Amino acid sequence: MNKKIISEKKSQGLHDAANAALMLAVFVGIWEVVFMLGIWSKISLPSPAMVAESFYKITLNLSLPESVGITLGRLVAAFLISISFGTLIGLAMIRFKGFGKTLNSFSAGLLSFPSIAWVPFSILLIGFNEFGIMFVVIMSSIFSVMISTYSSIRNIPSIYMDAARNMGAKGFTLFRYVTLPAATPSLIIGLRQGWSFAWHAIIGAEILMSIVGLGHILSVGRDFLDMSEVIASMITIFTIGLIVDRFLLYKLEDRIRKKWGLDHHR
Amino acid sequence: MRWNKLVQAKIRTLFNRIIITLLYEFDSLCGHVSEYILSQRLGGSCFQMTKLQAKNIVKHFDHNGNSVLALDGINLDVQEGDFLCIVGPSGCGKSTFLNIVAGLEKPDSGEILLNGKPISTPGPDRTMIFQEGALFPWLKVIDNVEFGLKMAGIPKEERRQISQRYLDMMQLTKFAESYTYQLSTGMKQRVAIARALAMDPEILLMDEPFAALDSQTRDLLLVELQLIWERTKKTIIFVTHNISESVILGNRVVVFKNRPSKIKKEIYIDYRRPRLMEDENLQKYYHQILDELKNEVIAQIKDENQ
Amino acid sequence: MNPEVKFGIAAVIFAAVITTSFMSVSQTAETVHVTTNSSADVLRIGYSPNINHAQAVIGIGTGDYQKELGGIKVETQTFNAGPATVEALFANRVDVAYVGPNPTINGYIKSNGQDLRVIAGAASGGAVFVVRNDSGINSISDLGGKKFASPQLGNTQDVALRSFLNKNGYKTSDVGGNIQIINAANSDIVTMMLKKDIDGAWVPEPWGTILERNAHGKILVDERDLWAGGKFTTAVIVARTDYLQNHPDIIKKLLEAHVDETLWINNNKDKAITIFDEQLGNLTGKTIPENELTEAFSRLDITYDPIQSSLYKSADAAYGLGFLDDKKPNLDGIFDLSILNQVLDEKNLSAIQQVNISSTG
Repeated sequence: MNKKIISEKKSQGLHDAANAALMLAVFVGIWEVVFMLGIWSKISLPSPAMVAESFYKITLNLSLPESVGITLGRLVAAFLISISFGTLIGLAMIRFKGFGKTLNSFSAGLLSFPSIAWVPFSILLIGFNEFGIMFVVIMSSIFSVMISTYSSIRNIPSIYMDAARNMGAKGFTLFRYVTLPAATPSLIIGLRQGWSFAWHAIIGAEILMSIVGLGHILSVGRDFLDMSEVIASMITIFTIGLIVDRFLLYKLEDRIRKKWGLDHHR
Repeated sequence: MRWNKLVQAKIRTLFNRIIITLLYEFDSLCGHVSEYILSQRLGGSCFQMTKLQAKNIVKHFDHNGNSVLALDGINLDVQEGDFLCIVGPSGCGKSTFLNIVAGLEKPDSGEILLNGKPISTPGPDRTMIFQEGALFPWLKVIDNVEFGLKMAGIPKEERRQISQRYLDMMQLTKFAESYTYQLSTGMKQRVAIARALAMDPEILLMDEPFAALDSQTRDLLLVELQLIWERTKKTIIFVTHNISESVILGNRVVVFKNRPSKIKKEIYIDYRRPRLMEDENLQKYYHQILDELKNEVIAQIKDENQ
Repeated sequence: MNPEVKFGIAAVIFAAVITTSFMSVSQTAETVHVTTNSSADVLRIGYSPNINHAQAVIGIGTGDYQKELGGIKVETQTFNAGPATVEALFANRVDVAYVGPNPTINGYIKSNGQDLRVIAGAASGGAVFVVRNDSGINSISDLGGKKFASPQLGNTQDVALRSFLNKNGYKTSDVGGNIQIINAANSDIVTMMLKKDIDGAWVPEPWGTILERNAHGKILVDERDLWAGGKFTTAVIVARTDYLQNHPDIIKKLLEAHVDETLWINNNKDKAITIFDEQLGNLTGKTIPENELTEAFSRLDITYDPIQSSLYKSADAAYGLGFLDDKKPNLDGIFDLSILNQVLDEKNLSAIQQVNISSTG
């Protein structure tokens, strides 16, 4: 019986891959046809082959792998800071109710604040450098983490807290063994949201504060009218975003949901 | 020769049945006697201690800005080994009262004494079994049962043994390593009971624990609970809106008035155990309580329509 | 449809795309895209609110250009940077543009010499190397270990800065040297100077003046000193080739307006500065103090001569720095000054000899 389930899952995976391959092929096919029809000039819209060539070039001269490394490095560092401080502030919001309520209402406005808008401020305050970029990323994602922490904990069904306190849990033990695990599914969702904000922010910041990195390749490509390079870096950005979200964060969320049985309806 | 063996077997079985019934009757006679003594309140401390005392519990609620009086001076004594059932119309505050006993809520005035000492915070000496859930979905069944013990600082080996024992008692041995979503509602409540008992509480509080179960599972659990009570000799306060449950389980049934609540009536049920739903002799107790309750429900409807 | 079939179809499509890609590569000698959306009575001009596009800023803002073009409607679009302007030109959103030499060179090369032509010059000079007063730099020998900025990677000033450093024996950090170069928008450069994040910058006017007066800077090098006769092109007019070929009459009218405006500005410097400031305010909502504008204009020549040799030299310098692909740039045919010379002849002004060498060193 289990063998059947596993082989069904495998064939589902195969179906999904086939669908993805077909969709990709159709997209590239249409692109090539549009290119050959000459609706846009070669400079404005390059062909798939030209983009592939560009890819090959920037991978070979290592500027692409290096940029990816640099961008991700900044991003992870900034995101970790975001998570740490965001969570701490979120917890403070729980602890000090008035503070929490007020900050929550402000943060809702700050959540939809476009990350690029932080750039001029960052240049003035921090400077036109690595830390300036990281500042933009942090400001773009920290509110998401804060609010997510705050609401995840607030939304824990009070019955868990009642049961836990009834069994003698209190203070830090209560927090560690009950509050945290109970809030985890919701926290992970917040984490995913924060990550996507951070990802948007870093590319935008890098385009405007051109030093090195993926966003830099994109903006330089544009300055040199090299659309192939622009599209190649766009594809890279898309792919990385997809991989991290789909194969890392989604899987994490999925594992937790399965463990909790959140997808089982009776 | 073979025929003899068969007959012998049959006679043995019959003999066993008779012994069990006699023992049963004897046992319940004993229980009967002690219940009788209880009800006469003869020399309380020699035979039974007062486990819990609720003195003049008053509680208000904030309802849309108005202060509503929910509990209007509840006075209640619970003796050790009692199976006390609390019934009342819904919304009369019986769950609130139980929460106050558990220490999860604070009364506006009055106090709760456990073994003579006042309590104010929740603790494992008064464990609660809730109507739904309250099992932790991120823990396996065995870890759930262990939780209170872990909080009490009991080392891992010992915890395991104790929890295993209670799981066995609830016939859930096979499910120790499962996660809670894999259990049926009835099984979950069994785990909740195991969890509560594992902490060896002074008093067990149960807040309509069977209300969400289908009637078959409930009937089974009603019998099981009685057997557990017999085995463990725990003091139990059981809140329910279901009169049959209270009659089957309780040696004492207390009826709460409609809001603002007081204790309307106390009824002693000194019937033998295990009591079964179908037993017609329980009917008279049932009707006694029903009458009391009916008036309260009518009063409540009048209240709500004003 | 089972997965194998889907994979099969996908493979076929990919193979087809690869085949057609090879086919189109072999057809490099394409004719010009004749997809002119512009109708016969509209001229779309792109430019930037910069002082080296003064003719456009003043001429368009005051209506002079529209007057000269008569029945042909003038539509305009402003841009913040050269590359964006050339982008718009190729995407058929503008027909002619005022733009710097380096984006022009890039565009020419990228289109394999097909899609644009330089039809006139607009400005010469107007770029300076400013350093902070307290940066410890007093002469060219003090530049080691410092941090400088330029407006954009590979643009005219960036190329000038890097070439200048190389010529004087310095190396930048990306090739193991000790001088760091940052690329930032001109306004950000001002901020960085004030915050002492950089030691200097190579910028176009009026930013040189702004840095000098408002960010405690001093001019270390006036770029005019580095060029023969102090002349080097910093803005030209380019036209999309197909428009040029289809509407030479409209182009002629435009160049007449441009030349007239050039002459007027040179003969009425003070008034021109005032009007320019006014039009700048209309375009961007901000103005520059007139004394700063006057100083900026003093380092700039408003002209119609594209100073072709300087363009070729710029291209060489860019190629030398690795900005222009792997092949040596072939700029044959980038200039088409025939119509300009027609206009100049009619106005009794001396023609500008077309210099068609694409220099290789």
